[in-house]
Amino acid sequence: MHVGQFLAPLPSVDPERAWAVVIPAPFDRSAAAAPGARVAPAEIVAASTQVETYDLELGRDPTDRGLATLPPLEFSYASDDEALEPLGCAVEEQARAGRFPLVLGGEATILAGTARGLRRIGETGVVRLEGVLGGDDAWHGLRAAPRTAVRRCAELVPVRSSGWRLASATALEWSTLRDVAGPPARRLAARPSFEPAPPEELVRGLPEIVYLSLDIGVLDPAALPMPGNLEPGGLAYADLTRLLDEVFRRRRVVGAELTGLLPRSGDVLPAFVAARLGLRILALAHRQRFPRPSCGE
Amino acid sequence: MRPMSGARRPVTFVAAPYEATASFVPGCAFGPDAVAEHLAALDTDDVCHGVGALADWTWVEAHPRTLHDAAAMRREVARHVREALAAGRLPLVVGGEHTVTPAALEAWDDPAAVTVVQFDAHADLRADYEGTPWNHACAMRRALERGHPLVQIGIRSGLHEELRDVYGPGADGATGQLERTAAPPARLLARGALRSRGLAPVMPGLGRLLYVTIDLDALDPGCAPGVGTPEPDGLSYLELLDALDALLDGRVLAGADVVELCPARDDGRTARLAARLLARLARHG
Ligand SMILES: [Mn+2]
Repeated sequence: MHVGQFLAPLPSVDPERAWAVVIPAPFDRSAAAAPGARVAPAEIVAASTQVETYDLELGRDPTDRGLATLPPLEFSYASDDEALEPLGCAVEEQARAGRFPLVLGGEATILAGTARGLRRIGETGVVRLEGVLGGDDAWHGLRAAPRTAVRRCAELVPVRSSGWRLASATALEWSTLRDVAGPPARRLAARPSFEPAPPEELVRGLPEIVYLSLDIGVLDPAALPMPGNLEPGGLAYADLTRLLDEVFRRRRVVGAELTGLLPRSGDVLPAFVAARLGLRILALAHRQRFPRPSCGE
Repeated sequence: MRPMSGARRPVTFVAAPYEATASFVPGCAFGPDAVAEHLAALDTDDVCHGVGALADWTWVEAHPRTLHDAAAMRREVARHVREALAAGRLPLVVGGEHTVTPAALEAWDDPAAVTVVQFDAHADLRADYEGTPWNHACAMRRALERGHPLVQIGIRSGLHEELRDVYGPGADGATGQLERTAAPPARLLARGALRSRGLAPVMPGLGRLLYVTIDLDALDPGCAPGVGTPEPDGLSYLELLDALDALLDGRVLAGADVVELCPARDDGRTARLAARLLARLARHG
């Protein structure tokens, strides 16, 4: 399967000569709220061809210095997080080569595979933003599911999850005990007469080097009308981009994943939101890697 | 954020699928069905919204969806709310059009003791509209006539005439903040004033016992598109939760309603939001 190139710079760029690589990871065991994650990478890439490659607010074009898109990963039907090993390997390979991997999911579950690669690299933590706190030990008998992804990750590397607006009692108890639970959406969303939680709380206790895991369900249905994203009280798009900026100002980010998109038939908006977030993450990483002192960065 | 303790009073949801005058975009008669579906779909062990408080609740239908007679609706809604109160239960009415609010209020015999707190895009203070005083644009005027003190929050639409009728000849919408001192007292906090001044201007208008009525068009159409008369620049869900927490802190919830859900304009997010709001209100039993 070929999904094209993220941000569509043609001719295609040799990954060896790129500073960042996009890795489609269409992992979909339908453990999410609704099926559809398997077509999400292709939908995001398709939408990205209609997105400008220049991030106007950051003044960065991530196709400068080369941006490549790899063929989609293939996952076996091996049980649980074993099936996600190809993702762990891909992230590890790209990060070790000094390239910035941007993984396009796939279910939010894929963090369980990413963590396997990060564990082998070592000294890397995970900043997670998600709609449902993934701190459960099992979900309907599955060890690897969106609701257990953070738990699986924490067994391998330090992780902190913020921005959630749903959590089971057991997930919250475990996450609080292990200091995995960052601020929920209600403490992060900007509104009148309200002082949001300090952004430092998103990265507290994590190493200097982190990987960013963004489950797009952290956004409110108003910003992301999508099957399975009905719960009120999520982050606005501006809340999210502000928090992403704050994370990049506080930690060296070596890679990122964008998960949880469930394309809605007949509506291009969710895929466009995801494509814009992909552009923003790449632009933030570009700014971090290639500072321009003359611009006050 | 801690797991919530159980409600002090069990809850009775009173479904009031009344739709006789809210006909700009029809469909609010199907509101209770959509809410019931989403109440059942809520994560029972979710700790963020206090849904655990919904351990003991019942759902009653006040009248059939086909009822269009205002007098019969008033009688049946008031009867079901009164029965819930008599059984020591918290009544939470699920509309239906906003006309069901004054009907529910008829269950209280001492209106001066029950402050009505209204979240709405519209003032709903008209004496009558389209030939009837039992139109959803008149709902709060009927509440005032019963003698309930009134606090209106998030308002961004109203006729000068209805504001002058209630708040006096000098009432000027541009001030963002209106007050009526004659009995029963009333205060209005427009959307912009809520944003810039917070709830402080209306707090002195609150008694100890509150009836909270939430017209879903108080919320921004982005987070609650499923209403019949959407108005731009509404509250966010979290803004509304903040306000409810502040208003109910140290006060008692007598009853509440969530009205004007129009499933025909919804993709499920408004019904889910309505269900969450009701679950949240249930915590104040
Ligand atoms: Mn109304």
